[in-house]
Amino acid sequence: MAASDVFDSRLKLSARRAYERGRLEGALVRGAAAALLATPGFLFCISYTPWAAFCLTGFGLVVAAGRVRGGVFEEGSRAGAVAGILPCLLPAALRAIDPELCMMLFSNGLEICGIGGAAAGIILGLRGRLSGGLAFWAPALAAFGFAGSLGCLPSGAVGFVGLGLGLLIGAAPTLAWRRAHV
Amino acid sequence: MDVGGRAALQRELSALARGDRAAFDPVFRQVWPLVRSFAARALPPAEAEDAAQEALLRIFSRASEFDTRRDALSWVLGVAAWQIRTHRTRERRRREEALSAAAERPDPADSPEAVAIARDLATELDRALAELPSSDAATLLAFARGEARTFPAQLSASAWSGRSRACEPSGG
Repeated sequence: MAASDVFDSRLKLSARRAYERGRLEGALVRGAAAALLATPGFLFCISYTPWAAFCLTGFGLVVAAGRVRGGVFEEGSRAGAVAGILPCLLPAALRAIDPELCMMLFSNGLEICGIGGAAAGIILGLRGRLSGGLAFWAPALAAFGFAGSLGCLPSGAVGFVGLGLGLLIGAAPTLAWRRAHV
Repeated sequence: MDVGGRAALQRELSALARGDRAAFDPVFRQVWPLVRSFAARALPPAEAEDAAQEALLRIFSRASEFDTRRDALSWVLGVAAWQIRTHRTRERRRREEALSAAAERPDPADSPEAVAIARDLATELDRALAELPSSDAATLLAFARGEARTFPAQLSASAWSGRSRACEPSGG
């Protein structure tokens, strides 16, 4: 192997490290930004629980991991984050309008979480990759799950049922419509 | 770079920006010669290689941020140009700092003026000592070297006159 080949291979290794480092830095920024965006869901509407902290951290990590991995995985985590941010921020928005209304609605969390889940399902159905497979849907559902859970934690198990049902109700017809028309 | 190469760079860099690691090698193969020749045109040969490497690493560290709607070649050369300019500015500052540090450092050697004065004094002293009796000269030298603890009280009269002459300003 010539000296120039050794030099080029070392340079290539350094360039590869620079690429991965740049990607990781970008991922950390995006993960932090996603967590920051979801923070109102954590701070408002009695969400101060270890589970809420877990969901907030998980949401940031899924978004960051999606960015590091790139490709379909990143598309999935991004779609899931966009879809999940609505049910995540809904309680915070309601509390900002009227705390009493917030408490009243979330005491019957099935409906309100169902609405958030359905809206998220439509977004996921529209943004989702029909041929993405697990590489797309696993991070998408993880990001959606963490973000949506932040919003539905105050309602307890009923809220999660509503969120899941809403997701199915929103996503299934949207995906079916896209399959029929694409 | 021809049209085909440019299109290939666009395709591969876009794939790399999306996270497709398989595109890394093709992008490296296209970008490194490009950046190297670009740096060679912009900088002296001694600095060009270092600047080209810095620019290459910068391009790859920012490859994930590449907007795939933009022209890849322009983006690569833009990042390289910025890095080369940064390198040039840094080198210029380093040279300026080195020059100012050299100017501020005091010279440990005596100044030419001090050397000339010392040489004149030594000549005058030698001349004065040569005019003294050898015993007086030896006594004075011993005192000057610290070998005699007290100044000799009894020197011959010529020693005193020689001493006074040696202390007179020369050339007057």
